[in-house]
Amino acid sequence: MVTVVVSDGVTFTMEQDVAFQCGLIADFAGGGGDQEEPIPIQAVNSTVMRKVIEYCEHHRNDPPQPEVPEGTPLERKDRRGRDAWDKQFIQVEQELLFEIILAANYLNIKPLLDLGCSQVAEMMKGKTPAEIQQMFNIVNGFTADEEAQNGEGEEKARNLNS
Amino acid sequence: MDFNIPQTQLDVEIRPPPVGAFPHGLHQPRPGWAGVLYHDVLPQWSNLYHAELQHSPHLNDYAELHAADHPLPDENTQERWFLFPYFSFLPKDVQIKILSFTHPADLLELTKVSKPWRSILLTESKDIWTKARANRGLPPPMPGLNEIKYICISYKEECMICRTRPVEYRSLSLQVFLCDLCRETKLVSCPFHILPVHVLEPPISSVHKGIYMLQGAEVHDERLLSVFKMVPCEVSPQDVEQHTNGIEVDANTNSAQLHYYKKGVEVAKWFLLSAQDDAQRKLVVEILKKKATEKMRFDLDVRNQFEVAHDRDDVLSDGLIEKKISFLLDKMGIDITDIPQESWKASVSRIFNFDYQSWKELLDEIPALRTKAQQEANGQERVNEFIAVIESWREIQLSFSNPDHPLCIQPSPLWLLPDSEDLQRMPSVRAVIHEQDSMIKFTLEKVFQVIHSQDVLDSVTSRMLPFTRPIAEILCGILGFQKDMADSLQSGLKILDHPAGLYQCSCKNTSVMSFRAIQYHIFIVHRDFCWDRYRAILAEPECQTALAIYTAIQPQIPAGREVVQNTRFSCWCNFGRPHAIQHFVPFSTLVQHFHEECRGYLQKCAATPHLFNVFDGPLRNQHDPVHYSKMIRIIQDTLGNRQAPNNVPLVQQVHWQPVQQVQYLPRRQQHYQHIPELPPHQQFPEFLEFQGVQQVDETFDIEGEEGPELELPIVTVPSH
Repeated sequence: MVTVVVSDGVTFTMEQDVAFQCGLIADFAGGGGDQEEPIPIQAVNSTVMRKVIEYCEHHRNDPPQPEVPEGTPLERKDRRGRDAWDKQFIQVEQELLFEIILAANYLNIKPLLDLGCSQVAEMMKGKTPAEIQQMFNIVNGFTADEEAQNGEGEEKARNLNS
Repeated sequence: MDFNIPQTQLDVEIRPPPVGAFPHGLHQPRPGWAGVLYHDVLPQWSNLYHAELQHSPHLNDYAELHAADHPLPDENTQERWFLFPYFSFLPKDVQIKILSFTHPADLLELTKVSKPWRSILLTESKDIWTKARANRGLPPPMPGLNEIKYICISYKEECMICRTRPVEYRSLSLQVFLCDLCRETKLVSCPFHILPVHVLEPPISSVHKGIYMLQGAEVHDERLLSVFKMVPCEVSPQDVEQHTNGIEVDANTNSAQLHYYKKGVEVAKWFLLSAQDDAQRKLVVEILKKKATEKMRFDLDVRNQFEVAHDRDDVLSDGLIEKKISFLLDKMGIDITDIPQESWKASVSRIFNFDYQSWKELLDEIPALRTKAQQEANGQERVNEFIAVIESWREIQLSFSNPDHPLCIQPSPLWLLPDSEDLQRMPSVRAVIHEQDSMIKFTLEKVFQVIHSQDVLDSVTSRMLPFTRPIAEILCGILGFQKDMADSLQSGLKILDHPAGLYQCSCKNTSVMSFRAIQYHIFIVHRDFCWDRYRAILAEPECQTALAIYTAIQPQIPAGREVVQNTRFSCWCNFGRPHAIQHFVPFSTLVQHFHEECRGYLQKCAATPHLFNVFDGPLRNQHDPVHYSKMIRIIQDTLGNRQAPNNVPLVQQVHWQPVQQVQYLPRRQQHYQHIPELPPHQQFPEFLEFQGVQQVDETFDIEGEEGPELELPIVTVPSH
């Protein structure tokens, strides 16, 4: 069994095969035996850690995934890796989604990181720049000229249609 | 590791949001939402992030700690809150990972989201594009084409030129994505053999002020070379003089003129360079000057009128084309009240840049609109349908006047090219012409080898250019007579629809009837307007309706004849380019006889080399009646010598109709007046048998199989 302590002081105990899906914990534990000392995970809070453990427990029996060659279409990766449960799992609030991504990055859980990133990409699909700015509260930082150049096409199209 | 960063270190001031300071429509924070920050502090946070921070949770913690000091605003207040900008606080490698999961088409939009994103996508991490493309299973771009350009061509939705209309045509080899209109008006297929690449292929950036990404315009398929704006140029004799003396262009010239001008200049320069010594250079300058003088067809009076009426202060300032036009019409005293609003608006809506040329076209169009309005008022609806077919030829004629149209007959840089006489004195140029001949030969070879293959047809049509229109004519003739009408229709329309083809106007409403009509337009436009033959088509069973129309419109025939004659005049102007293969009128006859007499021969035996001989070499000036006679003789000899392989039975005797008098432009007539007109028996003894064009009876059959054979005089093939 492996014990971890997260940023808000909550302690989680999990089985080794679940815990070792996190690269960080596996490194901490050194790959052998039960860990007596709780491992501090300061960058993750308990809410996010619960989601991470839920993900790891669901995938505990997954065979190790082979390296995907560069250039493999996403659909094929999807058929292999991202099943319906994953899709359901990652349907969370934007705040939690980003926390999960950060946690996966910090804990070095590549499949979870991929899952989170692809979910964010999915959210951006088909959106206009303005919608994306609004969705993620991004300050564009363009000058007035650059802004005009970006909007020129749309403006023209509007004029043409009106 | 201390994640608890004090406020002083963050250097962020947390305070209530100013009332009404935020744009409308932003999210309000929900209960329990951690990121409660305000617009004016975000840039500081962002800077801080880029400098120091790698993780956001502590920022949330920090914000939560201080949130109690600033309670959430009442929903009824004007205050608006921002979401915490999570994405901006993600580590950059995670941001890049997310971006690489997006669809390539979305990446194009993402470059407009923010400056940091643009920086990441376009400069810092270009491999995102590669990953995004690979994630979708797209093949890698061809050498010389970078990923971003590749994605642009594949997914960009707005036309690269006008940036307003949707893209209808994408070509990786040409590196273009164009709407239909820009494709028709801005893109011309052209073999690179005619002129050196640097003359024909200006960098696309130079045409479009460097806005677009297709810098350099590398060419991957050497046989396919796009020419942007094979434009006419307004080159005056003085310009040529200046140019050849190396004087720069006046910077006050407007950009479009400058561009046209430069292209004309490029051509002139190239010819100067091709001259081998001073004497030849002097000759070239003389030729160019002479041609510039001859080819200036600009209607200066109308232009002056336009400029006087065009009050820039009053009219140009508001930017509304329609108002400008009304203003100008009013000033010029032109009344258009008798033209229906709809048709007038349709004409005006075609104008995108209000310049002199558009204005002139519009003025030219007014009489046609007026006539149409009168006819509509008279209730001649059925007649109008047919008239529309005739009028469509008018469209062609108009297109010849549009400087952006590939078939434009305005003075063009190509017109500065030497005539065949000049070429005789310029061997280096002549070599280039031979290259073009090879191209034509290659094209024909492919066509005749696999005439049914759609792929090859696509390939061939993409190589068609205005100069080789007679080849398109032959194709139409031959394909039109294929037994399988569906294939014939398909492949024929492919050719007809191509911008380089002449016969694109009537193909919109495809039907067997219209296709047959188009076939006959080919003949009609190249011969005198043959109403007898036209009536024969209409007399066919499926054309009964059309026959009724025909009967109704008979009074309109003179008008139709005029239109067609004008069109022919325009065609001839276009063919007046020295590089054109100028067997204009006679070729329709040739095609017809190829069908009637040699179809089996063409399909089964190697007749093509002989045909190439006709096209190639010294007989290429088939606009010359003497040369044409020689060409006919060769074809006759070829068909009559029974030397074809595989014992293919040949036609026993060859029937040829005499060629009608070739109609030259006055300029051409003048040019060839020194060629003595030989009496027919000296030109071509066999033609003595003929007394004139055979009149075709009404049962003439388009397939050439079902109807009775024409009674043609029998020609004895001369023995060798």
